[in-house]
Order: sequence, then C-alpha cells, then structure tokens
Amino acid sequence: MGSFIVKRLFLAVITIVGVSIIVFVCARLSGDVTFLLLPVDATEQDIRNIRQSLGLDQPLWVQFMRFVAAVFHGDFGESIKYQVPAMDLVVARIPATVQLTLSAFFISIVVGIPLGVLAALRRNSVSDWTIRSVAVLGQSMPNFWIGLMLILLFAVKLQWLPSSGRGGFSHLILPAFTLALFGIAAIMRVTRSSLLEQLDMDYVRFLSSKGLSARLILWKHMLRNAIIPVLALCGVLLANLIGGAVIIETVFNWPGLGSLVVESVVGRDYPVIQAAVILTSVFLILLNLSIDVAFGVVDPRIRYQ
Amino acid sequence: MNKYCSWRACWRRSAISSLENTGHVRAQYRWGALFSHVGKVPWIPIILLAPVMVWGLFGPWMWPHEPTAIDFAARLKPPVWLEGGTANHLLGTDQFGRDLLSRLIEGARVALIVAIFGVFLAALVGVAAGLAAGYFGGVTDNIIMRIVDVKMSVPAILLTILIGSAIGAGVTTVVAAIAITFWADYARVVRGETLSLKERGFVELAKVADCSHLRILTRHILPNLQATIVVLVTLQLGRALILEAAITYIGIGIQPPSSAWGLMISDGRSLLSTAWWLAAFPGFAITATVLGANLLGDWLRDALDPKVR
Repeated sequence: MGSFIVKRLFLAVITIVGVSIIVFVCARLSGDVTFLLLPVDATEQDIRNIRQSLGLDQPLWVQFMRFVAAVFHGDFGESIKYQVPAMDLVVARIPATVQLTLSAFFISIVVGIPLGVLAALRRNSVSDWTIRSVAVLGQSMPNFWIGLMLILLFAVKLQWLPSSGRGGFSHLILPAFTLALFGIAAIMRVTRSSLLEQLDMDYVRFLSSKGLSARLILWKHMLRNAIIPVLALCGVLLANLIGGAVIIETVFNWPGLGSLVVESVVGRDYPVIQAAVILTSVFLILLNLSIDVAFGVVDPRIRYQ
Repeated sequence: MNKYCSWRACWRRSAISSLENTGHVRAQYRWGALFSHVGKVPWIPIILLAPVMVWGLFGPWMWPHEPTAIDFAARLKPPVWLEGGTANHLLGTDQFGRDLLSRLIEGARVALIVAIFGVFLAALVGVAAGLAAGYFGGVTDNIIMRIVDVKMSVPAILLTILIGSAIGAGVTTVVAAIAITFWADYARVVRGETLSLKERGFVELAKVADCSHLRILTRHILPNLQATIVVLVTLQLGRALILEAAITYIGIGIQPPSSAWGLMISDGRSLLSTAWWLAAFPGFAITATVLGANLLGDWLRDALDPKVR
C-alpha cells in the first residue's frame, strides 16, 4: 500500500512539473514582455537593464528553474491590469467558482442517479427512451447556448429569475442548472448501464428466489455494486465541471475564476492566466491522486494494475 | 558456400512474403457489412448533416444575400413567420441588416473546415503517439503517457485560453486547441489496441519474417485500427464543433466579420431581449450538426464494432 501511494505521489509531482513546463513555454511564446513594461522611447540600455532585472538574460533552463521556484512560493508576478499580485486576484475569485461547481455537482448526482435507475428498471419503455434521447440531445448542445436560451426564457420572457451576477439563491439557480446538464446526462448514462449489468447477475436471481422484495434487492444489493463506476466518474465529472464553469461564468457574469480568466485573456494579462491555470491543474491533480488512493484502499485489485 | 548464401537470401524473401500472406489476418473491420442491410441506413444522421455539408460545399451559390452585405433599411427583421418578417429574409436580420440565413450558410463552411482540420490533426498526432507507446513500450510509452497525464489535468478550455493568450486569437488558435485537446483520446485508445494486437500471431510471424518495425506498424497493426479511428474521428467532430463555438464565443477564436456560429451567438447575446432569433438559430445549427455527427458515430460503432469503449 505504501509503495502504491509513493508511486502515485511521484507521478503527480511529474505531472505538476509538466504543467509548469507548458505554462512556461506559452509564456515565452506570448512574446517579449519588456515592451509591455517600457515606454516607447526606451533606450537600448533601459531594455538591457530590465531584461537583467527580470532574469531574461539567463539561459532558458535557469529561467525555468526560477519560474518553478516562484510557482512553489505562490508568486506569479503582478497583474498587468490591476497592479496587484496575480495570486491574490485568483484566490479572491475561488469561493464563487467553488459554490457554482459544487452546486452543479450536487444537482448532477441528485437528478442523474434516480433518472439512471428509472431508465434501467424500465428498460426499453417510453420513459427509458425519453430519458436517453434527452441525454443524447443535451450532450449535443453547446452549454453556453443553453444558458442563453434559459436566460431568454426565465429572465427575459417570464422574469422569474435574475439573468446575471452573484447574489442570493435565485442568482445561483440558472448557472448551476446549466452547468449541471452535462453532469446529469453523464451520471444517468453510467448509472443506467452499470445497473443493467447487475440485473443479469446470479446473485440477483438468488436473492429474488430467496423471496426478497424487488425494492430491497435494488436499494440494498444492486445499487451498492452499481455505484462503483458512478463514483469513479465523479472525479472526471468534477474536472469537467470546473472547465465548463469558465464558459458558464462568462455567460451569466458570475464573478468567479472563469470570468476573471476570460477578462484577462482579452487584456493579455498573462500573470493572472498563469496563476489560474496552475492552481486549477494542481487542484485537479491532487483530486485525482486522492481518488486513486481512495480506490486503492477500498479495492486492492487496483493497486496491482 | 556462395550457392548456400543466395539460397538463404532467396528463402528469406519467400518466407517474408509467404508468412505475410498466410499469417496476416486481414483487418477485422466489416466495411462490406456497412451497407448490406438496406434497413440500417442511418437516415437521421444523414438528414441532420446534409444541410451543413451542402451549405459548406456550395454556400456561395446558395445564400440569398451576400453574408456581409449591410442594409440599414432592413435592420432587426424577425423571421418570416413572425409579425413584421419578410420573405426576403427568411430567418430575419441582425442590427446591421445582414441576412441571418446567409450568415448561417457561410458559418457552415467555417465550422466544417475548422472542425475537420483540427480533428484530423489530432488523429494524426494521437495515432502516431498511441502506436509508438503501445508497440515500443518501456521508456517511449512512459514519456508519452506522462504527456497524456499532463494534458488530462488541465481542463480543455483553460488550455485553450493559455494557447490563445500566447499566440493570439484566430483560426490557428482554434485548430491548435482542437488538436491539443483531442489527440490524447486517440493516443489512449490506439495504445490500448496496439498492446493487444502486438501479441497476436500475425505480428509475431511478421517479426519472424524479419519485417521492420515501420512495416509491422503500418502494414499489420494500423489496418486493424481503421474502424476504431473512423469511429473516434466521427464522434469527435461533434465535440470539436462545440469547443470551436465555445472558444469563439469567449472571443479568442474566429474573429469578426467572419460568420462563425459561435461568433453569431455571442453577437446575439446583447440583443437577446429584442431579437432572440440572432442567438437562437446559430445554436440550432450547431445542435443539429453535433447531434448528426454523434448519431453517425454511434451508428458506425455498432456497424463496425471496434472496441472503442
């Protein structure tokens, strides 16, 4: 078990280094920052001075090592637009994104699992067919467009809900539900197929010939087995929701990490983008690490794969 | 001695060809079965995809107006079936009086070119990486799979924003984003199948017959992956279209005055309360195309039966 965790930890560190390399390369590709920091009439000497103070005259690998060291100290430089540390800007936006993402995650599970169970139990019935068709259709629609159409319906036409911004519970409903649609479809599909697999198992036939009620077999025995692939999906789903939130936040003017990043890309505020990308990736890598380890603890077979 | 050597060379040549011919299991895909059942023609995907294909190929001969033609006399006309609509502008016009239907038709071309080009680039890179990782294993496999891990741990849209902020907005960014987002899926699937294919008899025999690695990969393993790759490409076309629209929507994709569907939705956002059709119809176009591609991919998977999942 110990060596399994160490191996996973090692892989996670390598992945974090890989992400830093990508961010570093993109920063270099984005051009020479000295022109952003200097007036137009700067002399050759000014340019050389600022390059020296930023360490741009060092070899590339020295620059990279400095970059990694700074990243581990949480220092991503100052935002070009707001003149404050990029890290502070990003951290201030995290609560809004966490609220939106977790709400969407919660909705996906609470709606997706019952729908999947219903579709599996009434296999090939009208309700199964309807649920699956809606899921396929939903996965073919761009979520930002669904968001706009929901704004059109509920905010513009019916005026039941606010169209943008963050405030009370009513502000959360539309963005969280829009973001959750993808998750509902994904969870429902996996729950359905995983439960269908259980239906053919011998133990189900045994329990039912033993005289157990269908309800008891379903909730106590089948669902416990069927839930494992759904749990495995949850990590992937959370990562997808965090990515999806970037677009949804823009649509609903939700003041989270995503709208900050989109604002920054328009203003070419590279330090902020850098901080947001690295923080998000580190979070996802640690999330996947803990899920892997948790599964390794629960199911020893995984450790030896 | 001399005679022996030439005999050996001759034997080896014939061995290569005979082993390749007898041992080589022809690819397992069932292209022939595809259209043998008339009842199984995928009508729904064909109906959904046909307009986009026709619009993309023959757009300039089909649009009723020039897509960029500005006509302030006909600003914000609603679709023909609503009050105030005219038959001259079937789906209405935007705030500059540009015809919505014509812009949708032009958008089909942009969507097709970008999505197809991006997905093919992804397939090229991903298949090569997957083949190398699965076939050679060891260090090669480790390096490639670590790169896949890194890619997987950055959400696609953030990766795109990173690229967009580095090389600026534009078509190049969209194609690069699609390729970088989707190559890893090919790499993983192709690696998995290569791992099982290389244990098969015909690959062993090809090795015995002294085929080069390149020959084994291209002549013996790749043909068996055709069905898998075709299905993946079809399924990813839809996802690429959605990614393209999303990138364009947040402003780092295709730039005005081009008529990309994502751009039209983002233009329509500010006019949602007065001219809902501007944001609605491009979304329908995207949904129909993506749904068509997804259903076609599902149908191909059932028909060709590769082991994608």
